[in-house]
Amino acid sequence: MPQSVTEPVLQIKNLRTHFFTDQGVVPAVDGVDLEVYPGQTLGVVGESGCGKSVTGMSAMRLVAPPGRIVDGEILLRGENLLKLSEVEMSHRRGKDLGMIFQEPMTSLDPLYPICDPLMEAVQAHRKEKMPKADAMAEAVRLLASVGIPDPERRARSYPHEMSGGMRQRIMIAVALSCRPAVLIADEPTTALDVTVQAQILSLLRDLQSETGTGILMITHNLGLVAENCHTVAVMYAGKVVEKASVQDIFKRPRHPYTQGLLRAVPRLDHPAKQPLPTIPGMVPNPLRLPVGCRFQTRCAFVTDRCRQEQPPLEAVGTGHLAACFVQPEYTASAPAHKGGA
Amino acid sequence: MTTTSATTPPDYIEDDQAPSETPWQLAWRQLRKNKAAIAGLITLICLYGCAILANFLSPYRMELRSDQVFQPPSPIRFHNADGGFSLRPYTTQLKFNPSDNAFHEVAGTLEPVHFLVTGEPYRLLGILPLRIHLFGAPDHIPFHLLGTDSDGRDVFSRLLIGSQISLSIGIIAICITFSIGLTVGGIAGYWGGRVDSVIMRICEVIMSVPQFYLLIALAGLLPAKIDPRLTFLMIIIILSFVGWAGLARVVRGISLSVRELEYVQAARALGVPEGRIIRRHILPGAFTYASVAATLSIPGYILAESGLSFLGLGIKIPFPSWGNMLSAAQDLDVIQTKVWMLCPAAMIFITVLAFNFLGDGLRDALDPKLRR
Ligand SMILES: Nc1ncnc2c1ncn2[C@@H]1O[C@H](COP(=O)(O)OP(=O)(O)OP(=O)(O)O)[C@@H](O)[C@H]1O
Ligand SMILES: [Mg+2]
Repeated sequence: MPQSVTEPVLQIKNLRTHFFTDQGVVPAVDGVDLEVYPGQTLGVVGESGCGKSVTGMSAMRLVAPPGRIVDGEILLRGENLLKLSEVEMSHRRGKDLGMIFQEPMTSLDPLYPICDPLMEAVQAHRKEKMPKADAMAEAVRLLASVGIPDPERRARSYPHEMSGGMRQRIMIAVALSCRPAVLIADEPTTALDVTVQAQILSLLRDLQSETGTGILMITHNLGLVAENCHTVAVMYAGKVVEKASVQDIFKRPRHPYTQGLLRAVPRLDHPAKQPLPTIPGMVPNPLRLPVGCRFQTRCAFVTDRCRQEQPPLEAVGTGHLAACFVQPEYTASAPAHKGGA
Repeated sequence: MTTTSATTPPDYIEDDQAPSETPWQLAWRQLRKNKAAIAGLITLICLYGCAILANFLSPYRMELRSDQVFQPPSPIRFHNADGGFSLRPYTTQLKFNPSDNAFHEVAGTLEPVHFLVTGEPYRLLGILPLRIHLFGAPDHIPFHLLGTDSDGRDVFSRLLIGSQISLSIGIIAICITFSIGLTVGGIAGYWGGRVDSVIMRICEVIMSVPQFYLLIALAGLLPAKIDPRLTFLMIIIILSFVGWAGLARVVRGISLSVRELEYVQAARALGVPEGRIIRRHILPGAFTYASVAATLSIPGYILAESGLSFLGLGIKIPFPSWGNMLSAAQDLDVIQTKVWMLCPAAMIFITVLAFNFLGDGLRDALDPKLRR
């Protein structure tokens, strides 16, 4: 749980990032509030296409046209990043805000040895030029810190000679080279196999406890959330529908969407023969979002009010917010579906 | 930070002690495995080498006429007048006999072919004044390795000098279109938005005009009597004007995709200045792919020049190019009875094939490892 005394290091307030496509405006992120606390991990979960990556890229101010941040604030230690000039912002990137991407296989430029991005990272935010030898020594030290064996020799290898796990370690070393206050990890382990995934996550935890970095962890994987995150935000169609400590999310989910996600996680105490309950229906087309609650078409508890009004994100317990008028009790088995057919 | 490898077993797969290979070495190794590509590369090196040394390799001046009209290739013998085997090739004179309308060897004219002989003066590469030629027969024996054309000019010599024009036009034109295409396509792909739309519409307009028609129309505008060097230049300009649009589109696509590649995003997320990202990450990546496209489009320029010259709109006789040499082999009689006149066609065929083999090989060698 975030201690009430600590201030969030990164605070995203009412963020709206829209894509102005030929077909119309896609509100990929539509009024999102998130807080990342120092030394803690915020998990952002949700189905594919709900706006998780766009939120992460918005925090870095790296959304490419036709996307644009149309509203909101991104406060890094109280300073609004959206007010900075592009040049000032590029000095924040890497130094105060780091990012790791989903695909370690393509995150390193194949033309350069792996010491290159590390040296680039340590040299990028220095006033006076750093001698090459010093940058190289620093790169080797960083490689050692993420558990790359034989770092002196490995520093001169090329990305194609590395496995996915090694590359993701290198990406972590690059992202943490300037000890950023916040690390945005967009599905950092999705492309890796399970054992490597565990190693990468434990590496991230170790480094986090050393450096006190706040992590915004974007993921599909609720199991990963349970083990690695302190707080969780559940996103649906560009909005946060529930936000709570990891215990509350797993024990007392209040939003039907969160409940559906939890039921869809395979469990050992679940009767094996029964198929996993899935959430019926599909994510609504972002160009034609329904009036009222965006989850209404797939919700078993939908009411007339849900079809007219958007439920606000309101406190339902201490540090627990949910955007639902009904807030049904969580049951392990799926409720009979009566939502819009 | 401390080392965490003590607590977590390392997840590397292979850790051979071999020194690491740069992506270029890797691509080169990949290319070497491709037999067709290597054959293409060697062929091209030979062709361009011959073009550079054309004056040295050719026994006659390309515009030198003789009364030996349509003489078939001179015979080459590996025996001397006594019939004994000789490593030095011998040749005999051929003489036209009007009664059976054919060339016949003149008895008793067997003469040795000499190597590194002194002959017509020339300037190698246009600078070095020399008189030495690779081979030559005694002056009274006409020695035409690939026969002569309708004006009694040596086809072999003209083929060599013509290759200077035909081969360099492709290279120079691709250099020009490559620079234009890389700049224009790069700007379109990188900036996107309206700039992109405007540039791409212009490209589409140029590309939607039938290319050969445009070439002919532009070449038709050239005055008939101008300096052949100027013609050469104008043809290159015309070819580039027609060709840049296609390459610009390719480059645009490449830079669009490279711009969104994760390593470019990762560099941005590190706060690397945009200029440095373009210089170090976008351009080299785009350049490798664009050079494959360029290699594959050189044959197009060679063919276009040949086509123009064939139609009499390009390089004009007496200056040889493969295209205008071929125009002498238009009628059926020539094709049937004077096969050596088709040598330029064979050269075009070989060159185009070599470029295509090399381009395909380059694509295969650069693609899998450089991108992934
Ligand atoms: N370049 C773009 N043009 C138009 N719409 C876009 C663009 N990029 C993203 N979007 C929209 O933003 C929405 C959210 O995308 P985002 O990548 O954030 O999803 P995500 O939650 O990260 O999904 P995933 O789990 O698959 O990574 C998508 O549904 C898509 O409609
Ligand atoms: Mg994503």
